[in-house]
Amino acid sequence: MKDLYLIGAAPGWLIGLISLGAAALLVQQFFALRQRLPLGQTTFLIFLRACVYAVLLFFLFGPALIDKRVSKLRRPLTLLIDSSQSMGFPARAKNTPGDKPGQSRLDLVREKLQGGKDPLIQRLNRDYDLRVISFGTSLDPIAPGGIANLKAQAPGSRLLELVQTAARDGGAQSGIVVFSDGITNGERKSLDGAPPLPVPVFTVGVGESEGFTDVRIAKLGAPEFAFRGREFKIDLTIQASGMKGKSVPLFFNRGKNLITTRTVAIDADSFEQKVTLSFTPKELGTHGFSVSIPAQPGEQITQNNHKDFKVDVQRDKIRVLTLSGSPSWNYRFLRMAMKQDPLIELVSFVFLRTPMDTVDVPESQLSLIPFPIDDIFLEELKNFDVVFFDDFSYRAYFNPVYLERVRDFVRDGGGLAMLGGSRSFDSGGYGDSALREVLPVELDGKGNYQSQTTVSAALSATGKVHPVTRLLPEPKSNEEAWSKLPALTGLNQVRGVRGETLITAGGDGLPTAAPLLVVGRFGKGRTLALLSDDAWRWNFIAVGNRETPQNHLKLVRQAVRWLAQEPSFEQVQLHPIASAQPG
Amino acid sequence: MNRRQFIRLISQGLLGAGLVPRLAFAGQPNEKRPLQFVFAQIKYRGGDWNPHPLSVTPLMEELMARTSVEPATVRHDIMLTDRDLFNYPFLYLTGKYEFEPFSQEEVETLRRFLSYGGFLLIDDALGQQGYGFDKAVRREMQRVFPGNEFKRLPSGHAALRSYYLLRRIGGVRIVSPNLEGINVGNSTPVVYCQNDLGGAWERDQLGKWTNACTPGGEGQRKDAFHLGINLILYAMTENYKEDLIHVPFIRKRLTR
Repeated sequence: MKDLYLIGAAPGWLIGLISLGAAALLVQQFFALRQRLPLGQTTFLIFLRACVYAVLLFFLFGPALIDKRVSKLRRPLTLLIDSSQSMGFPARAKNTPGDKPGQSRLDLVREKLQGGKDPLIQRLNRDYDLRVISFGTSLDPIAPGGIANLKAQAPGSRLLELVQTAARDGGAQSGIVVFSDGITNGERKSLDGAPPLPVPVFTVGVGESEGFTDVRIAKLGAPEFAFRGREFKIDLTIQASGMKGKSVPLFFNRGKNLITTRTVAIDADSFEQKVTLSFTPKELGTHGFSVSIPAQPGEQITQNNHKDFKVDVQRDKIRVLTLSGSPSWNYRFLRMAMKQDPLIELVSFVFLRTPMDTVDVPESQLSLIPFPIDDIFLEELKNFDVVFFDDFSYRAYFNPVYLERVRDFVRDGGGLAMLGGSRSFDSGGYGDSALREVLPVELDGKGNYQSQTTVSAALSATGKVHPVTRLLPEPKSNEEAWSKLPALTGLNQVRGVRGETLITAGGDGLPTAAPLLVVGRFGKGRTLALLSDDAWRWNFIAVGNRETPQNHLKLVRQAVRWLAQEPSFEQVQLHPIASAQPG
Repeated sequence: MNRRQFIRLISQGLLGAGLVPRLAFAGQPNEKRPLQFVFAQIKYRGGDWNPHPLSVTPLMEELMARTSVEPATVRHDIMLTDRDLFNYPFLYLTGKYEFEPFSQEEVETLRRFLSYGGFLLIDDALGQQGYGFDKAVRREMQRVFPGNEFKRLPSGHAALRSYYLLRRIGGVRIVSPNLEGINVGNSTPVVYCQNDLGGAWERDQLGKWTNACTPGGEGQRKDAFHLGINLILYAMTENYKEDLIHVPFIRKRLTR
């Protein structure tokens, strides 16, 4: 509908004056034209001019055309439809005449909303601004026509929490209509004590609560991470209906491996029991776990019998494995350094006897244990963070193929340290083994071990800033501490260095800057070579010199942390920002 | 020539013929072979610090034959005031008679030595409790660790399981069926035997045993060697045999 309005562009008195002026002008022009033209032509011309003046005057009144369109606004209405798995239950426990076979609770909702000649959903859509939302553990808006394709597969139903959310976040609306079977496994069991809902809520119940057979794992509380070697617990709630008097097994698996099983005795029609299970992880990394109850005879829904979860297993200690070729003072003081460190968990094997040694008593009178080669290299190696080869040669004890496992262990992120001696590096046959490419020094089979010499340690340029050799925070004091360390008496000579030399060896008869402590990287792992079996002297001889043994202890502990890639031992570089000005 | 030297010699002969990989015995000549253990004996003033001058070599030969340790075959004699004392973390103190008190410097040095990782084996060659050497040793160790007295080592102590599973303590005579020790922290850096271990180890230049062991005879001597080896390995591995990985094996063998 359109209306014309004169809103007045010029004041009325001005329009009146202009009208009078125009009339006077027309009279004056009439008499002027009459003197030259006949009366008929004069009258016609004056009429035309009068029309022009009239149009001009009309626009001075400010004409406006207003178009009015009127439409009727509909108020919002929200339909919440439960799509949790329980809505897939049969609508009734026992069929009654007129029921469609196999009709689920969700089918019943669909029938009520979409059935008939003039379906309810269409009528509601006409009268309201209709919003249809399916819900399970979250709210998922769908088109009104999408109800036909809705499936009951949400893993749970947070009924009351989501009704509150829909009422709070939906703004001004006529109300909320909830279609649900009322089974909820959210935190909230009632709205008592909760703030009043800002909109009216109408509920439409579907299904029956009596007569169903179902057992389910309703709730699961599991940690997101756990520590290796320490027990963690999971809490779960078992619910059952219609299974009074039965017992069901509960399985707890890691991947496909069964960890433990429990039997749950169901002693009520509406049964609920909390169960706590525990597990001590031995391997690092993210592991998949599951708890499950086998499908029971007559059970209507089996999808809720199973729950998966993942736990990230981290380490709380650095696990170190040492293999020592024989009892030695180096082992004694290495052990002391590690055993006194609460962050290090040490597992050590000392080869007390070689195949060349004979014994004078039966094996049963010896405390020697067999070295578990397969267990260590094929199974357990991955559970260690750092491996030390302490003056140890594999040749008398196992096939070099096992060293390939050590190589793979380092490539995958493990730490490897080789300490010198007459059974290490080239003298231990490692030039022909898989560790040749792993170690930070170059082996060619010709390097030998030199004993009863004098080896003094000197920090290299890299060693001055490396976290392994930082005995004292102040660089000058650190250099001084290194210069005061007692001399060693043994040195393994190698062809060259592949990694970074942190400490060089000085002494008579030694090549200039012979490497003494070298670090390197292989794959994702780190390696360290200490080319002497005498590092214990940095501890005990220092004590005899009335110096501190802490420098040796600190060196060992820092080496272990660096090899294990402890975050606090990562090197960082600070670069100044060129454009930044102080202040 | 001992057994190990003999095998080396044969192997080096094979090495020349190219039958054994070159590195298999790339060791040093005997006089410069790497030594992992030196048996150091304390010299002191007064009394008799050296009642069995030939006792150590047989023990070292036994140690070499039975274990992977490469020891020096001759002992090193040392005084507590020597500058290189801490080069020898294993010390042996023996004697028959009462000796002069240690100087205060020697007491402090020994305390420092034992507190930071050193080990002391005390062996009473006289075997008279409360007299002679025993009296002097208890007096001096009280000065080294005041208030920390000798205690009997339990049968499950790591020193009795470090190599052999020992049920008996050998020696020339069985004055005491148990060892005594002084504990510092979790370890026992001082072990005291009153059965004259050195006398049981000693052999003369012709290879004959110097002293008869009574009443157990050669079995008792064998026990003395076993104890010597165990104590050396204990000094070098500390409580290694108490690590969890060893416990079930040892328990199984002891219950057979």
